[in-house]
Amino acid sequence: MLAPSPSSGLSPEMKTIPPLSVRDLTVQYGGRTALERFSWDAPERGLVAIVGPNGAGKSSLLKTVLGLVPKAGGSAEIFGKPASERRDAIAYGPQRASVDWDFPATAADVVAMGLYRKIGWLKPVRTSDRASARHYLDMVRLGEFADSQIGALSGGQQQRVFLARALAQQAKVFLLDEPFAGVDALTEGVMAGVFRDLREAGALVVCVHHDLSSVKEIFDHVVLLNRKLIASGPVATTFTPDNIARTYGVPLSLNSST
Amino acid sequence: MLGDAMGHVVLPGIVIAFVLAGSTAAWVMLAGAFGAALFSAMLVEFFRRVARIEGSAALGSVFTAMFALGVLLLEQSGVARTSFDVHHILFGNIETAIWPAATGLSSLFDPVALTSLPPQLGRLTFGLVVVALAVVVLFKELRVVSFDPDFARTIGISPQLIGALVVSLAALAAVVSLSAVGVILLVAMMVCPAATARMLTDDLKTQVWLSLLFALASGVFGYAIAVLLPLAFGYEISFGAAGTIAVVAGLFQVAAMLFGAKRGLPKTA
Amino acid sequence: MSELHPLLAILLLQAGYNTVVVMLGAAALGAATGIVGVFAMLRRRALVADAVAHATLPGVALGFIAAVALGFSGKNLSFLMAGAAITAVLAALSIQWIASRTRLTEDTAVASVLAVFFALGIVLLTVIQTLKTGGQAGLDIYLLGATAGMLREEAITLAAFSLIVALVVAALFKELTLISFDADYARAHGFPVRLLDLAVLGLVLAVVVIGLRVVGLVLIVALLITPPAAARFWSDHTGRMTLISAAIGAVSAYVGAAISAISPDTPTGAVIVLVAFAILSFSVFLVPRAESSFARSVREDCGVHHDLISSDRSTRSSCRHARRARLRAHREFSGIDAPEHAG
Repeated sequence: MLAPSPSSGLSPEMKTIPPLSVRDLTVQYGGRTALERFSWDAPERGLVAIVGPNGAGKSSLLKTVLGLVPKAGGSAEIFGKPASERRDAIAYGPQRASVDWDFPATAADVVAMGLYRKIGWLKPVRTSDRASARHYLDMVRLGEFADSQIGALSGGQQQRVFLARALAQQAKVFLLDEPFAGVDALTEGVMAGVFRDLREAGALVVCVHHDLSSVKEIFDHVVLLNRKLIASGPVATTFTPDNIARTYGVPLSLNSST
Repeated sequence: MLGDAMGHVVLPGIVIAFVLAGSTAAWVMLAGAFGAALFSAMLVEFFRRVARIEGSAALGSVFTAMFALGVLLLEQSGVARTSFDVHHILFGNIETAIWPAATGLSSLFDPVALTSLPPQLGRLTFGLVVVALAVVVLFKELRVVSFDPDFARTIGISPQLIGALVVSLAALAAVVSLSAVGVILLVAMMVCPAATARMLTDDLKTQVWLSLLFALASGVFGYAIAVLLPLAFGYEISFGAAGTIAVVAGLFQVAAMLFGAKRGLPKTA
Repeated sequence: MSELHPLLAILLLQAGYNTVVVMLGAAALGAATGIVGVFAMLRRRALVADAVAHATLPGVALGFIAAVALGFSGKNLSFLMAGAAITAVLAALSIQWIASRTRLTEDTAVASVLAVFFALGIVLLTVIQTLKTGGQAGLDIYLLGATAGMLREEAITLAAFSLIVALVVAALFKELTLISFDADYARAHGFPVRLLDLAVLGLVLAVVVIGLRVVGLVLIVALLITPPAAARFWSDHTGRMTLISAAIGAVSAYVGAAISAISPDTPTGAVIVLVAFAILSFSVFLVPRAESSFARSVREDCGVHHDLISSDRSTRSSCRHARRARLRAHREFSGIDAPEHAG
């Protein structure tokens, strides 16, 4: 079920183009530069963590790729085209704090939102769609909470609802904004498991991530970002104390005397 | 914007106070208005905190219901037929605040003529003095509570206490000015001059003074237009002064938004 | 008892044919406002709706003047409604412009637009009072509403418009729910959020203008706010909540119109709003959700559950997160003090 479905339309030519390619991307908010000439080619598949200090432009990067925030320069392409022409290949998971959790909807309702594009305009959500939403909730081990109002779920469960909604889209590229923020160990384990399955199925998962200590456990690739690209590559060779120090602007290696 | 919310909560209080008091005695009405305003505020808080209704929905449902109750009570009690009716409350009637004995500037020093000053004037002056004193004395407390209530609490300034004080001041201003200007002008005068000043300065103290200035100017110009324009048309038509004043206050705000140096138009998209 | 009888009779449709049609028309309007109100509330547009409603007054006045100037009756409903719609749209645009193009906040924009447009309406009304034509008194009903003296045709028109509004919401239900819950997500996946937002605003404008005659412009916003707020207590489903909200709106308007039929002097809008508020109060105190959410708030205060207030929640969770991250980073990088981070 995790495999990108044929409906996501991966033509042969798409197989040769990088799933996510960013060139000289610059983002500005009211005169402040959030991201400066950022260039990066994502690996063909795998799990990527975007790491950097506050205000480093991590969320801005995701939002600009998605076209939610206007870019001041450069380009960002999904399989060679702007995100607006590749909607069916992308799944977005916003920050948990960005929505009102008192909203009158159940966990299954929210997951079903991932199917809205497929259902199409003016058509109602059918029983089969609801069943499919439950299936994705099962995958993140929330099957028993399908009919719970979302505000009644814990923070970790809410993150898993967002992940289930992203899964429902059967996308090839997942862009998730802090999926691990404030989650418990159970949720972290479940989500890491789902991510591994996605990698096996050939998907690319890009997460804004804060917990430096879990980068090695969960991710294959890392992008170190502080308004500019500091370093990117496989975790084993790129996520070094030296690079981290350059990212956070603190001479970390000098502090290691204790 | 505190003024807007407070204005909304206070409105129904005044309407009901008019009815409950049954008389136009200002001090009876004031007490009634405070009671009703307090009740509205508590009800809104209850809806938000305990019943978890979203803020603006809680505010909206409570103030419309209180206002509706006030309107019905007005109709039922028969007060409507006497000195106050819905129109006065909505529109105000500043034209009744005339000083028939005034013959010129010299009347200001004529004790006999002074006794016939319109009663609204005394109430309004009282309101002005109390509000001005409170703002001057508590300026720094008001500033810190408006900016960061949680921080204010940590340094021993109770946001609830200051908040209650602001509600009280708004209620006072509302009650003393209601019979003269009506509730809508009240909202306009609470919001527009402050917003105009906000467009022109980043300093709170300057904002308060500018706000005062624009409020005064709106009053003077608005009234002048309301009186003079019909003259130009040979008394064929008349303008409600209260409404004209509010419109002038709005025009000041539009001008400030278009040309304000500090916070006017050029806002990066 | 003798006073209750006529009301009971009217409520049970025992009144004359005209009254029955008017009551049913009002009920249809109440249902439409209840439906639109759900999205106005979920999309946080309730107070904008209030400003837009108040802003119809200058339009009504201008419509009157235009009708008289062109030789129609001042009470011509088409002129009044067209005028109302025009100034309401202007007000909505003004709010949008102020909130997006200047540094004033949206609620300041709402409050000033409401007050200034309404004041302009009052000025125009005082001008109209001095015009030498008849029918000025008839304009009063647009302030607080009156179903007394309403024609059958008017009621049928109301019902027809209400039905159209309900159908539009039904067709766009899924999309409107999505943008209300998670606008960024919707935008990221290609849904035209701005357009759908405009649709919500357009629906709000429509019900406000349709509702002027029955509820009046001062209180119409209550029919957009109170029924959904009450309905939220009865269901956690957007769909069911919308149906319940429609029912509450319909009942309120129906009862209001009935009472208005007995005592024509009573402003219909005020009665309708009080009935809706009574239903809300009943829901707050008596429906289980009130208890459960109260229990939830207590639990949250004890720190067992995440707080629903976003700032508190993110601060708290990111604090915990930061602490854990720092500890682990400490271990892994042999005593490196991981830099501070947050949400």
